[in-house]
Amino acid sequence: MRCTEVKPKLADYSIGLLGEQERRAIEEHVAQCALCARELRALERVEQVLTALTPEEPPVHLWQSIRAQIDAQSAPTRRSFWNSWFTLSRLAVGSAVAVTILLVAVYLGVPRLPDQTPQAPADAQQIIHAHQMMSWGDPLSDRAALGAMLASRPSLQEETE
Amino acid sequence: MRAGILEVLLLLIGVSGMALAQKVDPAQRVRAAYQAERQVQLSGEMRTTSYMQNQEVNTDVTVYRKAGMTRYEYRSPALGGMVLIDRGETLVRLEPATRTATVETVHRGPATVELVLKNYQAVLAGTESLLGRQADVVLLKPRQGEGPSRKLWIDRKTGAVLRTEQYNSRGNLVSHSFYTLVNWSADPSDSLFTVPEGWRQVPSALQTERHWEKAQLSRQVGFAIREPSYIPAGFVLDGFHLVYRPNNLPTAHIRYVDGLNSVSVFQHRCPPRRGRGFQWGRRMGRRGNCEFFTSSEGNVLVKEVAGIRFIVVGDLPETELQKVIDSLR
Repeated sequence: MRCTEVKPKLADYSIGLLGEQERRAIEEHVAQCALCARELRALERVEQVLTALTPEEPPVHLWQSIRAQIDAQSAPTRRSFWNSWFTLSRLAVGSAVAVTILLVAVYLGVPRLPDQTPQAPADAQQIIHAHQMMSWGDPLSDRAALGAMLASRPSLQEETE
Repeated sequence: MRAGILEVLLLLIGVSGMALAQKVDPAQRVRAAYQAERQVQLSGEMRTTSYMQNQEVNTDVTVYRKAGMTRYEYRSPALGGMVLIDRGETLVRLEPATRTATVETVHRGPATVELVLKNYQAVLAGTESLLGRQADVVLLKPRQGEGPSRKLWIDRKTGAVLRTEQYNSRGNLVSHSFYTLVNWSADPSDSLFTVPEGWRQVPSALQTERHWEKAQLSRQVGFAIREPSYIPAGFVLDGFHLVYRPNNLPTAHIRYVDGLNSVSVFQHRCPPRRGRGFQWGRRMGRRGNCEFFTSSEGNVLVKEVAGIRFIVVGDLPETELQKVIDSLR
């Protein structure tokens, strides 16, 4: 599968909505594509944040308040200023909390997509380089090719400076 | 009549002699190739291609070999005229732009040709003519399970490998290199294997020291290093090594080899970090303390436990790496 096919399905994948075949295809792709892996990780983080939130118990008088509003609309009577303000402010606070949670989740979760083709981070590259370097001394290794790979990377001496 | 019988007998002897001469033991050819790495003297031109994750590195290389030393001059402009000199114990990287020679220690562990032949079956795939010489084409494939494989074109006369194709455990071509020209009577100057005068010599930041004892290495990195109790079949311990990474974080490196493949277990104290996860790859594991990603060199699994980061690298299936990392005690 290509990234363009995988990305739209990542959200469904992250919450287990895909079938077996599609799930496997996504997993195979993600195992090899750091960009999609990062996007999936971000989606999973959003899911984790949302899952971690304790469900808010509705206020005891919420239904009464809603009922009162319905009654007020069906049989308009003059309500007190404080009663209206209290109802509206509760709705406003609830909305603000919801928006804040959403913003925090989005802030934590949205991937910072790199402009270039993703690769293992520098930290990991150094480790992989050490792993690869050691094979230089192995029997029958293709040293000409290995050298080209090493030469195409910046000198490790330069990396420290 | 008698002369006729004699002729037939001679013909039969001749045919059977030719058949014997044609019978090639592929394992012996591999041993010959291993010996030739250190013994054959030559100069030549090679072309090599490496397939990294998102790129293909192509270059012509001029090669000089003498007394177990090899000099590789990379001709591709992208590689900036880089030269590598393998002097057996050390690998020198010459960078003409800065006139700097970076020296790295070359580790030659217990991986010998016999280990290769123990874990990989040598199969004769045919005989081809390369550069006007006869070459035996030998395929090295894993005796059991998945693993990398290699195809070698071995010069019948000298044992020198004239062409190599390297495949990873998924069967993908990782690299291939072949000679386009060989001067078998060359006598390369000794100066080709030394650092030119006036060049700055610096040790590699990734200097790998070898022959560490486990206890000694634990003291060096500041914690008790852990060995995996599970290692895939056929692998043997190559050694304990110390890797000085650019951020001066001492990292223990335990390496296992099976001849053509290797598994590295790195471990170091976790650096301070912000946010959750290592930000390396796909998060996995029950507590999300494990991450997985692939690179052209193989699969990589990372796990953090009690302030220590473990990184397992190898051309092995994810499940095998998981067993290795889970068995660290």
